[in-house]
Amino acid sequence: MSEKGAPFRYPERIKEAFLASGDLTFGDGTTVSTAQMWEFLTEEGPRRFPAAFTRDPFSGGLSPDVDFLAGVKRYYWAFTGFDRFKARHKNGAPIVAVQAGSPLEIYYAARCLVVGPGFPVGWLLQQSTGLSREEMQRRLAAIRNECKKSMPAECCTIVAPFNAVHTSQTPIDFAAPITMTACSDAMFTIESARRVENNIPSFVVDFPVNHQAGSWRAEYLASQLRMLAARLGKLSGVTVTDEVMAAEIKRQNQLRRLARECTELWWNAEVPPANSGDRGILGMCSADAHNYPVVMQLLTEARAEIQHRLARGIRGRGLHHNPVRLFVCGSCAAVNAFMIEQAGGVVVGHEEGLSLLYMDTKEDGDPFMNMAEALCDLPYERPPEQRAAWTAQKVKESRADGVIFVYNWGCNYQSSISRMVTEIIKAQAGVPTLTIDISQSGQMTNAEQARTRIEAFMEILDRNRSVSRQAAFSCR
Amino acid sequence: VATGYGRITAKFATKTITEITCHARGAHYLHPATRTIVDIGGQDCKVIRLDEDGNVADFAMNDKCAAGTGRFLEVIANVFKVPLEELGEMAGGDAPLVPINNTCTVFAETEIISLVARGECAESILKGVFTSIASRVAGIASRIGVNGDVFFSGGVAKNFGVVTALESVLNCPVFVPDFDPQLVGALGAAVLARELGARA
Repeated sequence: MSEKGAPFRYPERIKEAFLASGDLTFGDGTTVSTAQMWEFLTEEGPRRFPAAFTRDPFSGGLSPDVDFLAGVKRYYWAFTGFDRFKARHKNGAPIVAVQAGSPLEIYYAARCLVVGPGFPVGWLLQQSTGLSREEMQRRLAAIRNECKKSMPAECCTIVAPFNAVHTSQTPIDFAAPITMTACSDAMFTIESARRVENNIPSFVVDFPVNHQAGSWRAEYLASQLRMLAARLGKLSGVTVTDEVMAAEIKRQNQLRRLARECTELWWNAEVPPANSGDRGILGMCSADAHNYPVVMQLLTEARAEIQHRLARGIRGRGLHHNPVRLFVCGSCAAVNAFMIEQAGGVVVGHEEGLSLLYMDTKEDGDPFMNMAEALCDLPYERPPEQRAAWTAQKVKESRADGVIFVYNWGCNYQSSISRMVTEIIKAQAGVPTLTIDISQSGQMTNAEQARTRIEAFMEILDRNRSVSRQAAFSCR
Repeated sequence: VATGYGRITAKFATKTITEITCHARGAHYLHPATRTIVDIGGQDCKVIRLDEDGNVADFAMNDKCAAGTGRFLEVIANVFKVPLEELGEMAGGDAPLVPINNTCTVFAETEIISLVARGECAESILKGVFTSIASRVAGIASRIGVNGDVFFSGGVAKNFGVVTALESVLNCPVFVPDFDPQLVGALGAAVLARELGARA
């Protein structure tokens, strides 16, 4: 029997400070006041999403750091995201399925609503509001089982649920992944879309993954990106000219620069100023035109709060004193940050997300060629040796004590290179590594085994740190 | 100190420590020269490398598959309709080994039933089963390397046949404590609790 969680409420003591923080303004000019957000987070939200407003004994739930107001505000944005999404779709914005981990400039330039493989499950879950944590878990398991029935067993845990589109209950207008190595299973998305009963139009951008040098690579990709832009534009009614594309690149570059600044502030802090979950907000580096001003604002407010905490040596709530710092590698890599924090750790970064964060796209010249070159040079898409070297550098910059490489069952490319990548990181960054395979049925089935592996690994890292400290002390 | 799967549910404990660290400390307490631990329990199999102070230097685990675990032996005992405790002794004679080709518990069970039907004796088949488990462990051990004295813990260490097969496959003696091998982790937790208490 699952353990019941306690209800989570935002305390009244933060209300005044929250109300004094900034309102959120979306790309269409609509503004949500802090009072409206507070009402949602304390009244409507707990009613509609009781599962989220429950302290889950296994995954934690909402961040306990209620004084990190940008973090609190981002929950309003997240919980109401589906409402805005549905409204925009109703107003004609097409929903486009993409590959997980893709840069999204081209889709955003065409004013499309972009969804990853997990979208259909999220959509189906959203059809029933007011579910308790236990009801939500049962519903999720039922949806996943239903989705997997007609999907080959080798399809990964993340992509398999995309098959929910075959029930025709999920509104996908177009499937258009860029087939990068980040995901070996993107073609299952296409397979689901192309099923006779769906007949969802699709377009595959053939990403040149053979890592050969030469300008042909970027030229080939750029030509396909132009074709993709034309298809997307036809669907949305927005012509993606060079100017439109260039403006989108510029916008995402601005976002990345700010997110990088925030991330590096956190990394360089003597005491981690935000917990693992709230640190995630600092790495938000992608947003469409509608959400862009909000994400910029959340990042700006988060930066100010981080700076405030840095000046006063405030540690993020939920973290142990001097936590073990873990860097996570792999695609769709999800580790239970709550569990890691309970065991005395903190997650300092995710390789795939950081690769997108550190993607630099040129702003002068042919924007499609610039985009293609940036994609080809994406650290995560480089040959494994180069990718590992880049990651080892980020492991050092983030001052991680150890690295966990996580991959899902069926994620063929990531599983095949995981040991090679971790061996290189171990040699170049000088930290221990651990490789974890998430089973076919998802994390739930082997949660205890995964917990044991990760905690035992953290015990080694903690021991290593205390030995290093003692050695340093002896030297003095 | 609480350890093992479900340690977080022991609300009376002041600290939880994984069984990997606890096995290391328990083995070091019983046999200080231990540098490698093979721990085979009911549902997983671990190989742990230790430093000279009994601290975990590295580890590797199989937790995805029943192959090479105590559960595998339970299935085999059921095939031969004998209690689990008697399985090891059944392979103590001079009969030649019959290799078991399937790693998967389900397929291995089918293979063994076929071997029985073919007229192979239980002793030969069981030697093949134990060697199959030992080979599986050796494969896991090869990821972190086997050094120094090898200590065998967990319920499967009570099986004489697996101990013999492990010594043969690893090509070195394997130390099995007189102390109940199933309680090495608990012993380690007690040792760590004493250390923590002394520091407090």
